[in-house]
Amino acid sequence: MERRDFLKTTGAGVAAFTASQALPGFAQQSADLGIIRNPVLVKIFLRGGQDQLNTIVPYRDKTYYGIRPTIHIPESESIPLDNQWAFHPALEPLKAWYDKGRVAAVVNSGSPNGTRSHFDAQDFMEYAAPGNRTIYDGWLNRYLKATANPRGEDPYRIRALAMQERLPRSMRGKYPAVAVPSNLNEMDEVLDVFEKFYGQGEPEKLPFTLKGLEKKGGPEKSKKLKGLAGTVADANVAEDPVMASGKYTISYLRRLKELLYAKPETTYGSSREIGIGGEGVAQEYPGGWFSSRMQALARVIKADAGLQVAATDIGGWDHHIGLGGLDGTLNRMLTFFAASLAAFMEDLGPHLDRTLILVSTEFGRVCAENGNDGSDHGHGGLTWLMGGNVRGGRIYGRWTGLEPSELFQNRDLNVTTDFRQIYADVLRKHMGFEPPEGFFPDFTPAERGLGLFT
Amino acid sequence: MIDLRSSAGHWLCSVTASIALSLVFAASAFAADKDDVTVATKERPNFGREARAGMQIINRDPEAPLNDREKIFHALSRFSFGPTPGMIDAVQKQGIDAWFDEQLKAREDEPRTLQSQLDALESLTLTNQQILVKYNPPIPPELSNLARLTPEQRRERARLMAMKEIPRQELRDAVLLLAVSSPNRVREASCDFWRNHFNIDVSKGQVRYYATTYERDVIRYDALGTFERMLNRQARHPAMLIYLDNFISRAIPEGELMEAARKAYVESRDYGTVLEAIDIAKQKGLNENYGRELMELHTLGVDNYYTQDDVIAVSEALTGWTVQQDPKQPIAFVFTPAMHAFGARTVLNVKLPANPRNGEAEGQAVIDMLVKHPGTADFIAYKMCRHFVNDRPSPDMVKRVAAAFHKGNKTDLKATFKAILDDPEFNDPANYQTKFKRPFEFVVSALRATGAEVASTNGLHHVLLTLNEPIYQCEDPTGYYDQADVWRDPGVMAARWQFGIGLAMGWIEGVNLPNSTWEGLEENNPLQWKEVLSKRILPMGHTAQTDAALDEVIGHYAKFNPKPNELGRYIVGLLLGSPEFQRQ
Repeated sequence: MERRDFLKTTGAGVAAFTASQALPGFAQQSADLGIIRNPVLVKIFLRGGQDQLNTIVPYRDKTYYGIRPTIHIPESESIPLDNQWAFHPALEPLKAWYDKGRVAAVVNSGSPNGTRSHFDAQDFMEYAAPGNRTIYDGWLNRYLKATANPRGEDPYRIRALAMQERLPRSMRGKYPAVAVPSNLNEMDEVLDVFEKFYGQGEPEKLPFTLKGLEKKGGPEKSKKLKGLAGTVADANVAEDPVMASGKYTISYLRRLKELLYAKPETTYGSSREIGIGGEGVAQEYPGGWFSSRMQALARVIKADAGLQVAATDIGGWDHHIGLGGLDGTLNRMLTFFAASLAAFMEDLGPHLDRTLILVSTEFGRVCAENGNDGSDHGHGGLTWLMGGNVRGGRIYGRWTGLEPSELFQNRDLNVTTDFRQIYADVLRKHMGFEPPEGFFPDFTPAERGLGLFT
Repeated sequence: MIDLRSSAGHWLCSVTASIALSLVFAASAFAADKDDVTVATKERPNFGREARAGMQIINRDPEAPLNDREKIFHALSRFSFGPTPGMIDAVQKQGIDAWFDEQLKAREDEPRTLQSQLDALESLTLTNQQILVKYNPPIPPELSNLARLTPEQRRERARLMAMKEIPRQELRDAVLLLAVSSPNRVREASCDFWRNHFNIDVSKGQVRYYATTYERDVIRYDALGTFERMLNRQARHPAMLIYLDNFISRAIPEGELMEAARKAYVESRDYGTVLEAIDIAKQKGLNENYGRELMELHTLGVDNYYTQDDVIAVSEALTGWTVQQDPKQPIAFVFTPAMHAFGARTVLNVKLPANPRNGEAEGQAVIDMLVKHPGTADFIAYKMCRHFVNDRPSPDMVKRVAAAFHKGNKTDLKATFKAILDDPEFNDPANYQTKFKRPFEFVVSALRATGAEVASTNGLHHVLLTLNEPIYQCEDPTGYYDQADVWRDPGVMAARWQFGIGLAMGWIEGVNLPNSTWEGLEENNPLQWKEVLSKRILPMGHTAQTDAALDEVIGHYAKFNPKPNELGRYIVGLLLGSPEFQRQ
């Protein structure tokens, strides 16, 4: 049986019971308990080793066309950025954002560790600890833990969210980050019935605001609710931890579901009303799973629910076969990648200023094509930064050309920018967090940084 | 035709009564516990008592010593993935000590149904090489370019690719089926513990082809044997050697060192730089991954006794412990002198002599030392107590269990298990029903409590994946976490509830409740169903809140005039999702 079917039927089975038991709309109980307007980091991992050369093309370099005779991007088709670099045509939706100075990329970035194993390279990057096997918490988890409330987190705040079923390794660790259950949309009945066993989830304590609701709830009600929010730690002292997690689960998932899936017209009025001053702009997304994820994520960010770190993966960049030029797998994937992110940035509106999108891959691919219209595991690759206060509209990173003597082991792009320096800059300049000594094991990021931010 | 209204009326009274009662209980329990908590935390680092505040089973004084039945239930919870229907009675008849002693012998054959299920999993009895040959067929070059294949070629390619999945699929099937149905309960509980302790991940490289023999010849082989032998066997197993990279760890040949030294000399003309270059070159071949985990995870515990120098020394001692590369030879451990860094070294402040004739013995000396090290006994005893007794085991109990483990350097696991069961603290009410089940424990115990018939396992593996604990797929060498905190993520919690309902309603592929579930359920008497089913799933009782919740749900359903195998199913699902069933 398909997992989705299982989950669907599970939900259906309790529908009969809960129809008469529907709780008053969660939204109606929430109220304006203060805006949490913090910087947000959206981490996107391109799994499989994303190819740099066909994505941001060194279009003036003759060697490029020589070593990729069948899969290069013809100069006539690529989108020039300056007199060295050009976008793959599928990145067209990002070009406007690049021109507006909101998109930047670092070429030849990656891990100094030369492994070509996906397994190791991804681990090293998500731990931000190449070659180090003594770390078991992902780098985002370490950040979350370092900045957590020592008294226990406010249970009604969504600080960290993986927009997929399982936490990526970068978010796994001691801090209890949450992955969105794939069937969240069908969970109402189960949550309602088990509330009877685990107790009321007290959703009215939520400290987030939806502008559209203020009118309904009214300011009086919201004042009364101020200061009610407890913490998980507090709850545990007085209460059995199993009961406490049951309650937490119920309230957390209800809120999450509302944020992620509620149809704007039925719950919030128009989506223009979501977020600060209704500035969020309803936006056409291109469709597809990645697009839906980003759309849902935009909704969470705009709702000021306290989100600080979100992550999602796009798998399938391991293009040994059929990477292709204008018409291969890379083209197809860059198309939805670029269109979804462009829509996401548009959708965020003013929230884009506090939202940074960081895109990495475990390594780039071999410069020369192989015999299968593809390319094998390489070394240096691309890191993207979008939104926030990125000093965009330019391509960063030291380029060392394509002469074999200049390549890593005579075949791959060199790594001239350590990804940890980029991560450190993001934490410092965007998140306002100074990574303590040892945060990046065996690596001390340069104080001066790479100048990626204004 | 029964008068449903009267039953609903009865239901209403009952709800009102239970709610009233639960309020009284909750208030008094809380008041009584408050003082207790302060005392308890001062006197012992054991939070069981505190954790149960607000969770009072009807008619059970949380302070009262366990009675005989409770002791049996407690032992079965921890050493058996919970009881099956009727099992408590059977063990009571036999006596818990006699049952446990018999279990430690683990002599029982698997029952016929289980055995025939296992027999169908053909890879289980093969050698590494047989598995590799059978399930890793080469992909012919003409099938390699996916973009240019005919539909027929695509199908052929898909078939070949699917073959590669079979060994790990069959392995996880075997693990799950045995954990649910084998009569050798303590052995299965032990396997679960050691599988996590000596973790490997089938997602890494060739590990998937060798994990089958790892489970069979390392974990299962010594689950009730000795730690010493299990440690030695895992250190030599291809799955572990590959998973933790020891198979590539090697001493750099002298020629390469000379070359590095020469280069450094030419560039710097500086003696110090040359020495440094030699050191760096040496490190290039050495892989510390296994050497570190051998101490950190397998024996001494993180940062206990050893330093980074020890990690390097141990890794060097184990260079050359690798996997046979000759395709004509069996895929097995081989010691390769050419890869070994021969020499005397100091490990954990003990000087170990060089053994120029037998390099393997240099690594063996390290393993022998680690087996006998008191730190290993402490760490293993701590982990076992944490797993089988309490998330935060008391140091006194750990000390006693460590002594049993360490006795005569035997590292005898039977004796260690016996020491845990017989320890005066094991049956402390503070340990009773206070451990949060890991997802695997939860799923297996639910299948056992319901007596579910498992015809196929795909649906269950999906569930384990959703619950973040798929079998043999923990990426970190730590193995899956044992403590509750890690498993209380809202997504996972909700998935447990859905699994409970799904299992009961018959929505999990290949899994069915037996017809005997409905035996003894009186037509049109849902409250009687609640009595019968709750006694089966939660044999030691449930709280007033759970009782009220069940009544409320039953009251609503009564309107629909349900049959036992309709509403009864739902009641089973709710019981599996209840707070009581999340603990063991």
